[in-house]
Amino acid sequence: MKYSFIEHIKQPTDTSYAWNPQWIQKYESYNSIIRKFCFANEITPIYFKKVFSSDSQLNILKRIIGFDEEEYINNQKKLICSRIGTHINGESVFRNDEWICNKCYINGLHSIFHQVSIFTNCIYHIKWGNRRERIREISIRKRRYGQLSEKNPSRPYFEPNHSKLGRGYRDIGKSLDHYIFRLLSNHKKCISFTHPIDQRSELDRVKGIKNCFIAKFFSELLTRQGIMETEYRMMYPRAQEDRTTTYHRYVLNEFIRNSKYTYDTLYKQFHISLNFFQNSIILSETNSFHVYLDVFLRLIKILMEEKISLKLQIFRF
Amino acid sequence: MIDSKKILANRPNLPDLTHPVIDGNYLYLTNQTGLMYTKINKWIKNRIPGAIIYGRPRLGKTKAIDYMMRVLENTWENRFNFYSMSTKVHTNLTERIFFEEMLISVGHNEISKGTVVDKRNRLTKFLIAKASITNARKIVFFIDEAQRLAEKQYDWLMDIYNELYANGITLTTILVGQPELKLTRNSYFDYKDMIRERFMTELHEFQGLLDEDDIRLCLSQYDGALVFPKNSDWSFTRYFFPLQYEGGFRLENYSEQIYSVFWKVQQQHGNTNFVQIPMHYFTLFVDSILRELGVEGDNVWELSDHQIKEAIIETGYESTFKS
Repeated sequence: MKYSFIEHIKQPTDTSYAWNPQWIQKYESYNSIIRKFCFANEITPIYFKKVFSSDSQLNILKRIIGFDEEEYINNQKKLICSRIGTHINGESVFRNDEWICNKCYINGLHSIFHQVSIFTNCIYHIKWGNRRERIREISIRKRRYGQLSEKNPSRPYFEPNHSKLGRGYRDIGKSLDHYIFRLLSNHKKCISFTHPIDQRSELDRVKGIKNCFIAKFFSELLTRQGIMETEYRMMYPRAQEDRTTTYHRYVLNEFIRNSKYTYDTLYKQFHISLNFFQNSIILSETNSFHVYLDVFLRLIKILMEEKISLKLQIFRF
Repeated sequence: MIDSKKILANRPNLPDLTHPVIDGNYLYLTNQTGLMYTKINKWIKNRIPGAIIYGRPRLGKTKAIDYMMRVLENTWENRFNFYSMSTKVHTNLTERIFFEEMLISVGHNEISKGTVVDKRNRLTKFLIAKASITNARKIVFFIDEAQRLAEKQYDWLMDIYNELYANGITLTTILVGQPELKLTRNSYFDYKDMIRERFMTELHEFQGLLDEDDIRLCLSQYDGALVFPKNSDWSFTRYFFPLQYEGGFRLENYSEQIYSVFWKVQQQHGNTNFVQIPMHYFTLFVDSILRELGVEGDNVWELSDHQIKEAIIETGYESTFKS
């Protein structure tokens, strides 16, 4: 124990903020991490933005949390894009507007998966056959904190603003209840997979598909690509015309209507369907529908692999 | 034969006033700090919630805390968190001031922002965050000048203690202060058991240099362990007495003589028993010997009783006795 010390005045260190690297969850968004930082240090995001505005301060932040914004976002983007296929432009896979799952948000998590455009239900809370937590878009009027991300508009995800977010994640939930949410699905554009489009009323079509977590994605895609108008026969062939296609329509239909399937079943179903469409004459390699179906398949695969690690870890002291 | 030219040429060429002896900016082991270290280690291992270390002024308690913090951090690396704060006197002590001072002492960057509740939460979360990284989830807090703590400050400390405890983190507070602290503890026997049981479970008296052995250990540090520049082999004694050091000069060898001169000074002031020497005066005394009698001063080869006595008197040591 025979220590001796010269310069007994301790040098200041960078560890003068409350932070534990273990608080970061896999696939957590950068702004979600920053919000945790604000929460742990009892500061508001607005104050955070004010303090960490200069390069020197940002360097300090980088030393504390271990990475900077651009580096982290790029890594996350690469991680997701590498899993869903390099033939997809990453930008088109992610939403530009911020989307949150209320349940996750209350518990202090915003994940990159909340910004993947193909999911309209939270993958942390999705339970096949049970009520699923829908991811919602936050009103643009409440998005002041989003200015932080305007530096880099191409980023795949960013967080909504709330001046009280640094006060505690449980309070946030209460505040969020007062927000005006816009429903995700644009029902008018939805199509029914249960019957040929010309045999159902619009209301029935909405009823048939509104709980589908890929509904909006496919409906928008189909509309955008003109598939709904011009190629819907591919999706809804007459039974007597092509029995194999009908079978695959049935498979997809079953998936859409019933939410009781496990990841494995979903994966199998989509795999069969994808193989079918890949081999069909109707869909070529360059067809968007095929490509996006492939993306979806890969995402389902991620979920299968990650379903344990993606279990929500509640962040609290 | 000592080659003085060679020795002086090898002596580190330091800029003016940069040697730690000039401003006393150094820490070393004494018998008392060693004893304190053993006690604290025992308390930590036994999960004692709080203890008192008391002693007369100028004995070196504050420097001992600084020394303890460093040694304990080395000993319990990545296992415990150690913080220290010094209690200040405020005319109107408020919760806001208290938590701001606590935040300063733990080194948090955000001190003044927010309400009292924010500051309290900020402090607690900071401590939880730091403790959660370590294996043992334990925090040791040294509070210097603890005799100044008011009752409400104990209550606020208790709140922090409880909140940390609720999160599975143990807080050990070590109150360091003057002998009034012991009296405070006794007064809490009657009506504030909670405070006493939480912050004042154990007692330890911190003392100065009690005998020749204590002096010898201190002086041996100057001869060997205390080196400057860092990682060089230029001990303080060697730097200030380079030629003499080559010829075998060591301060440690003067322990008996220094002890006897201190004792004579004490006797001159009517003391019949040897009185502990406060570290403050002893350090000033050794610094004075090194500066004034070494190569930068009179450059003497032997220390006489007269020179030692003069150095003692120059420190103001006599002011500790009643005239």
